[in-house]
Amino acid sequence: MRLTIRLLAWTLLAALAVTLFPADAAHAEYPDRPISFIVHTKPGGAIDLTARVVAKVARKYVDVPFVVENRYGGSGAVAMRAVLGGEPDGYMVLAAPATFVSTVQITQSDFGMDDFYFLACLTEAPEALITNRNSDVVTLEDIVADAREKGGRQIWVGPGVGSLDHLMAIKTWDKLGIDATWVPYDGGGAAVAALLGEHGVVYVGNPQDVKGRPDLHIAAVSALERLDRFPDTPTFVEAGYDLPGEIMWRGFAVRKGTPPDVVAYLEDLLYKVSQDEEWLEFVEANSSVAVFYDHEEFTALVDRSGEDSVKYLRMAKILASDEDDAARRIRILSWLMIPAVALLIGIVLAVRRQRPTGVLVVAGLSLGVAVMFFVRAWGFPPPTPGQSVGPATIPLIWSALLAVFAAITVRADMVEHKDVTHGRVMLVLGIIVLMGIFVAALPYVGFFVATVILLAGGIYAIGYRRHVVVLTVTAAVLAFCYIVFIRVLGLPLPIGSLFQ
Amino acid sequence: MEVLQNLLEGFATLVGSGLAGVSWWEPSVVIVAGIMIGIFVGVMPGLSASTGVALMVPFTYGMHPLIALILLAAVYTASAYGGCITAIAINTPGTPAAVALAYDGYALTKRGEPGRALGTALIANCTGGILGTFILILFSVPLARAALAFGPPEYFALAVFGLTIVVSMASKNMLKGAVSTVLGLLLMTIGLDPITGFMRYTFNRPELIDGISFIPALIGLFAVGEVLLNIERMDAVKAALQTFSSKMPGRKEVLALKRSILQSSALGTVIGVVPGAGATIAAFIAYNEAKRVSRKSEEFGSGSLEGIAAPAAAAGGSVGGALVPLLTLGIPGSAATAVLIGALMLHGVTPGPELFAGKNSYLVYGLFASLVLGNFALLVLGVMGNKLWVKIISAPKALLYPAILVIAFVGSYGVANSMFDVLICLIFGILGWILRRYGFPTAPLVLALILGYMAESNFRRALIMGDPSIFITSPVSAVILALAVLSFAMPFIRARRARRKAADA
Repeated sequence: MRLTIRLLAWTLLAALAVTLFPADAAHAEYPDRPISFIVHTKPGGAIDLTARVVAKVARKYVDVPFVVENRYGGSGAVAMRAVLGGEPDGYMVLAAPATFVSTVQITQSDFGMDDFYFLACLTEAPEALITNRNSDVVTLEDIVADAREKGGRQIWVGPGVGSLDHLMAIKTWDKLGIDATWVPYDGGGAAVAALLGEHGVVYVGNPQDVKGRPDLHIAAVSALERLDRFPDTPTFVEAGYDLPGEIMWRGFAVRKGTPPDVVAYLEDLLYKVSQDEEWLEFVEANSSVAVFYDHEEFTALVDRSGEDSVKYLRMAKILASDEDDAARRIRILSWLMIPAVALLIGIVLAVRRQRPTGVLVVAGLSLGVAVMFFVRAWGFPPPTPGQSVGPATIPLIWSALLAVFAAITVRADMVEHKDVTHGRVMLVLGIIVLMGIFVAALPYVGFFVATVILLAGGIYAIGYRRHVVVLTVTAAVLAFCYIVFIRVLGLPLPIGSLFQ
Repeated sequence: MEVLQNLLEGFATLVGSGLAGVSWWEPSVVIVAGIMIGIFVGVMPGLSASTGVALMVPFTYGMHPLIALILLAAVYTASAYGGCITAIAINTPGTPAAVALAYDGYALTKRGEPGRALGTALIANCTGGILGTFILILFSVPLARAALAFGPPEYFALAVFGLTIVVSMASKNMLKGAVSTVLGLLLMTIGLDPITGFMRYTFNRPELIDGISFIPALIGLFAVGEVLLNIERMDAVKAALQTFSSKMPGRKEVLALKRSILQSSALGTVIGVVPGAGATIAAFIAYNEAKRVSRKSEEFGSGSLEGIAAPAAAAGGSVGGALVPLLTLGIPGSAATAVLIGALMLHGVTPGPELFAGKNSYLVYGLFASLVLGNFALLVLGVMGNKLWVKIISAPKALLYPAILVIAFVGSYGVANSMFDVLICLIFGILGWILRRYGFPTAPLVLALILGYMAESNFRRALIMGDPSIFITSPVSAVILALAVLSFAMPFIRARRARRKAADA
């Protein structure tokens, strides 16, 4: 029995070693290892599906696998940063939608769109105004008339603040000479629901949004001529408004500085994909338009989007001005609040000749954090004119409440003064240190080595001493994670910068 | 009755070979495979229903559209139960909806009866799933219309109602409960302001622009925090003596739960219909309602079977509910159904009302039939699986705890391939340990993390759309807010009554 376990353990370890450290480490011609598409949405988002289909089609023309890596967060800032943080070797390809242009501007990132080399743009979809057939406002004329009547209170819905659709809305108001209110939702689906429920009058999106939703109507589309697929839908140009070519595009980019031969390879590959029957079918099914804009055309498109975006973000007062002196002082002052609260509690304890209990420390820290957040919120910009509630309102309420509850808890604990029973606290602190090492080492030694440290280290620390079992369990967990995450689910776990 | 006939045809399509180019055994095999994958996805922290469904999409490329739909729906159905398993076995909810169930489920496991808890959750979940499917079939059109009436004021009211549940969850120590609730609400204001786009408390970290990622925080608070507390309190002798029984609940016990299961299934389905509110709120509200009407409400929190059945049934029911807006309006009812829409589009099928009438209507009824069959398959596979889970938690704690930590960190990383999320998991893990240690309840913190953003963004949206009276002039919002006040005050009133009774006696 013990022999079998031992045998099993060694076999698993050997198998793992072989898969983890492939023999040929020499650099061959590009590409010699999997290429990642970095996507900024969760699995299942529109751009994610696009990237997955491109990956699948590209596989026909290349001998290496493609992996789709979802790095969501920061409206794309996280994904862009991931690509810029990698080597410019062409193994990390960014799936870039039009919204990235305004993301970079709004989040005041320390990088810009010109840090990327744009390979090719593969799809585009015209922007459109969509209305609810069952409401009183259906056509473009209705929208203009209703907006004039409501004098700025007409509600437009769409995904996000400063998103491409929001910019389109601002631009449209400008060209139509009307005023309206933008109510941002978390994603297109929620905004469509709001339009269907008549919580808004106009939804800004793309023609494909009406597919399968018979209650929706496209009031106008931004295109030079009527679309083949929607011959009854008027364009803005027909109606006499100068909005000929507002589009949502999706393309691919790499970090600038990628070698020319690698870039040429990828450009050629994307061209082949753009002509592939399977790709065209997918684009067709999603009712967007398959295009191929090469590096030059795509870069010009991105530049144009960038200029437009700055202009209209300023118009909507979304692009914040730089932090002023008062705001900076408040920010610095806020950090002093935590030590100040600690000092205050310390003084009270000294006067009462008490030692702090654990509850008091937790409540005291909460109080410090609450005061810090409270002070900081005073540096937030005021509400938009005409609104009573702004970015600071809710944080001020919660932080004030937290401060009150935490202060009462501190006070109650001083009166009660009872500490909890301690268990094996040192052991727990040891495990926490071990977890800290795991997290710190993860980027360098990769998931598998770091796991051995945490797992085997943790088991021994707790006091387990049957070495063979420890080895078996470690190998089994590693094998499990490898098979499930990397092989089956295709979720790439970090291999570690030391081994790359 | 036409509906039922269509449903029967749906069954016929699945059981016989009603599809061109599909073998007769394919649907059943796909359902079983999907259920197994779904259970696994739910069990793994970090893999939510939506991620699980999304990861299966590439496998469906070459399949017949109905088979693809059945597979994805089965994964979705079973992941709800998968999340319950870890909540019961190791106090680590695999999905956010299972948080409400960790209370009583884990309490039973600590008493050595995980089998009873798992069995109750399984039966309740499958009943909820089947009832939810029938509600979906019969009432989808009126339900969808009601869901559309939900605008920003109504969403805000719903979030507030959800938040009032913390009062009954934190009944042991109101003050500490209030601290953890408000701490969660405050942490949720980190990130891009939902209305103006201003960056609040992001400390120049791009990872914080969208706020603290919820799943890693949840994994940290529960999985890591719980393991640390257990390691601290671990008693080697006692641990060696403890045995876990995989015995299922008896028939009488299950029958006694019928009221709370039925009530919670319906609640889960109806709340699941409201796009975005979903399974989690449904589970919490069902738990609260079950506790309110229960004759043994004092058992809640210490291993009440009703407290397990209610959230599990609601989670099961919410699957059918979330499909209502998808099928009738073409808009996603939850994160997982959003992925389902993408997958259907890949197969050239556009979800929406036209699906019922057009040439693709067999897809809808095939899906309905597969949901019913899927829940039966889940019941069978779940009973078989429960023995395995009990065996796993019977492993030596010294081996089990570090392994849970590893899986927790992989899960956190896997959510967005982000090292930052691993760090979040670690920080919230330590926070979870400290909070538990000093008697601050963690569930209110989680509930606040779930509802804080929903409350603020809809409050702000509503105020852009009209003046503050909008919350009272909208009848739906007014009713929900009134319920919220009741739900907030009820535990206080009860406590006072109990005290007076005690004083009289």
